[in-house]
Amino acid sequence: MSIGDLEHDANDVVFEQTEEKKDSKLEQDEKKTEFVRELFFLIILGAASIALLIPSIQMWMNKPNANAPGMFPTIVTVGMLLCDGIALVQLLGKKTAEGSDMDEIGWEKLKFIIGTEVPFTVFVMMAATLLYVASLKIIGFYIATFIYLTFAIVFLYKGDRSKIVQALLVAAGMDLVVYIVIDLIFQIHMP
Amino acid sequence: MSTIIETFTSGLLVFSRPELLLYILGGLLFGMYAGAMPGISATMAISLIVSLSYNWPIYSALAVALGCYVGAVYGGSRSAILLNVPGTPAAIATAFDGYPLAKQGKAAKALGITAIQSVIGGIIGSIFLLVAAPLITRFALMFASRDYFLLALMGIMLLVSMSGGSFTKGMFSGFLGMFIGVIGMDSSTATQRFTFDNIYLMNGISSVAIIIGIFGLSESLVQMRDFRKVTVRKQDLSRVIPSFHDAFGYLRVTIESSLIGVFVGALPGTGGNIAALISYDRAKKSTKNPAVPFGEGAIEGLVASESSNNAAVGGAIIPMLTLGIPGDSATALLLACMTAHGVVTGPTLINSQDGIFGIIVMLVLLANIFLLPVSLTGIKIFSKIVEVPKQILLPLIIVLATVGSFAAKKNIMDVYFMTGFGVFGYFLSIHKFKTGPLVLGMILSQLLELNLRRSLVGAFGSVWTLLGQMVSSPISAILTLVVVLVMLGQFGILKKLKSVIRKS
Repeated sequence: MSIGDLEHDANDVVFEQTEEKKDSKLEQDEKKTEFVRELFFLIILGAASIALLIPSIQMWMNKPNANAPGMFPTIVTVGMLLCDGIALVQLLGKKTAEGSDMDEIGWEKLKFIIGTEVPFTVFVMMAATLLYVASLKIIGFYIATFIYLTFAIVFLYKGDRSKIVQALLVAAGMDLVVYIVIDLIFQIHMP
Repeated sequence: MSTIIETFTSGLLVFSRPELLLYILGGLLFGMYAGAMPGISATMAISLIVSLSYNWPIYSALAVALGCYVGAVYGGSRSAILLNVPGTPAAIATAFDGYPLAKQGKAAKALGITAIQSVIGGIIGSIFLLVAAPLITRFALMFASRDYFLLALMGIMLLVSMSGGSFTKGMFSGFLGMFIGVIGMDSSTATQRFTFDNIYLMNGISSVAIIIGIFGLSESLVQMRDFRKVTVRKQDLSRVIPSFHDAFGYLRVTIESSLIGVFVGALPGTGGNIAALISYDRAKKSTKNPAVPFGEGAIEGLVASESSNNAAVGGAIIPMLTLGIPGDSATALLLACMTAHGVVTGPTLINSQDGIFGIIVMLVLLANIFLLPVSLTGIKIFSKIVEVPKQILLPLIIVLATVGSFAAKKNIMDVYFMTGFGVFGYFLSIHKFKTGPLVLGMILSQLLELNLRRSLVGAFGSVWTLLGQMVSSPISAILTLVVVLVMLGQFGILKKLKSVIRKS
């Protein structure tokens, strides 16, 4: 084994250790903000359940019989609301027993919470995926896929320039495979 | 007995169409490689196949989908052994002893054993499908509408309770799935429900698009939170074919685990993952002196897990065909595939004139037999595929999800819904809401609603009369009891009752 290989292996170990530290930090952040994130999410789900329950009841009231089209959606949305309510009570009970550490939520804290909920990598990839899907009809599947894959791979490698060629090749290869398998063999024409 | 012979005879029709054998092989290969890729579950693989084969003739579509199902369940073991990352949930128990074996440089031996055991388990499962399905069908004909409602509800609740985590969150997912299932035009009264006068929504949201979004996109996004954790390891794969002792030396564990797999798989709401874990636990308790301790590379552990999860395939298909209730999310997709091709599953399927029941049974049996040569090939190439870094793999999965959701109906709206549910699924996952019950709830929504409404109409609109029927009929009473027990068990009420009885 050459000195270069040894250096390469050592760099890999350092890289893995650094990443492990970052991951454990994310896990710590998740635990710190768990109560507030959970609370907000359950409130949003509860509000959505109420928003779906009201038209369901209205639909049931229009035809109040055993075969009413609004009956089942009403039962289901009541079930959603009940489950959400129980989960909320369980969360609040758990927090009361442990004591609250998120009494004051300032702008900095809010940014930290949002950052833990949707880390930067996920946020960018989510936005990129939404843009990719939205652009399918405008610029076409193959161009959109090529741009999306190239960007996503380079971004996930933290902008490593040495990966650009690899990303371009993967993107072109994927376009080719989809064209041959989906377009030519299965006769499904992508947008 | 005559039904079994009739089923078998009609199954022989497969051989009159040799192209079906090629479709099975194609499905097996695709499923095996897809299932072996971390991030692509058996459900995801089948959803892609179902969407691609949407416009194919029924038997071709079924042959490729069933082959894919069998291949994907086996394929999950490969990355479980090589990377300690189960390709599918059914391979979780495989990783317990498979990965330690790989670390000892015995990856090839472990892969060879899993191949043989998967085939034996799969064949046992297929034989049970042939023998037990007609009996269950006869039993299912005694079911009333309320029993189907209770059975479907029980399936969702069992899936919620067995998949771990919060029961209330799991049930929320189940209810949400049921709600998504009601969107569209009501089949009885033609009333539009939550369609906002949108033509696309009148037919309901495509279940394939939602499943791909939930399992493909959202899982990819979740993995991006900590995708650097997985390290790639090189393995010695010089010897693949196992010795006679490794293949057949653990016959007791193989047969015991296969039987557990069939029965657990046949319960609505369960699947290969639960079957494999129960079998692993059973093998651990029943093997007195293993050569290597469990968890450190015990062959018995590997045998139990792999024979069980493949036997569960045959088991999971039984309730799907005979009751119209899928055993797990993968069979839910197979059900969606059959429905899309106009096949009505349930007790009447076995007597249908075209012999489709026997053909399905034969396709499953053949897929398991073909698995042996297929599973022993490509191990060396495969080891290269799993070495694809996640930075490349995850974006590729998202593109595949886009292709799959569009290909189902060639409708761009499906891609939008896939993306929307994928992002929503991400938030559900990180807040520990199980997504399996959502999918099962959505698929069973129509069955639940239809049978609830029929039962209520049959009870003259009186809830009390319906409850009385649920208690007075033996089948309904047992199902009601199971539903109540699952619910009480989840809220800890059963434990409290036990302690009160002990104290008194």
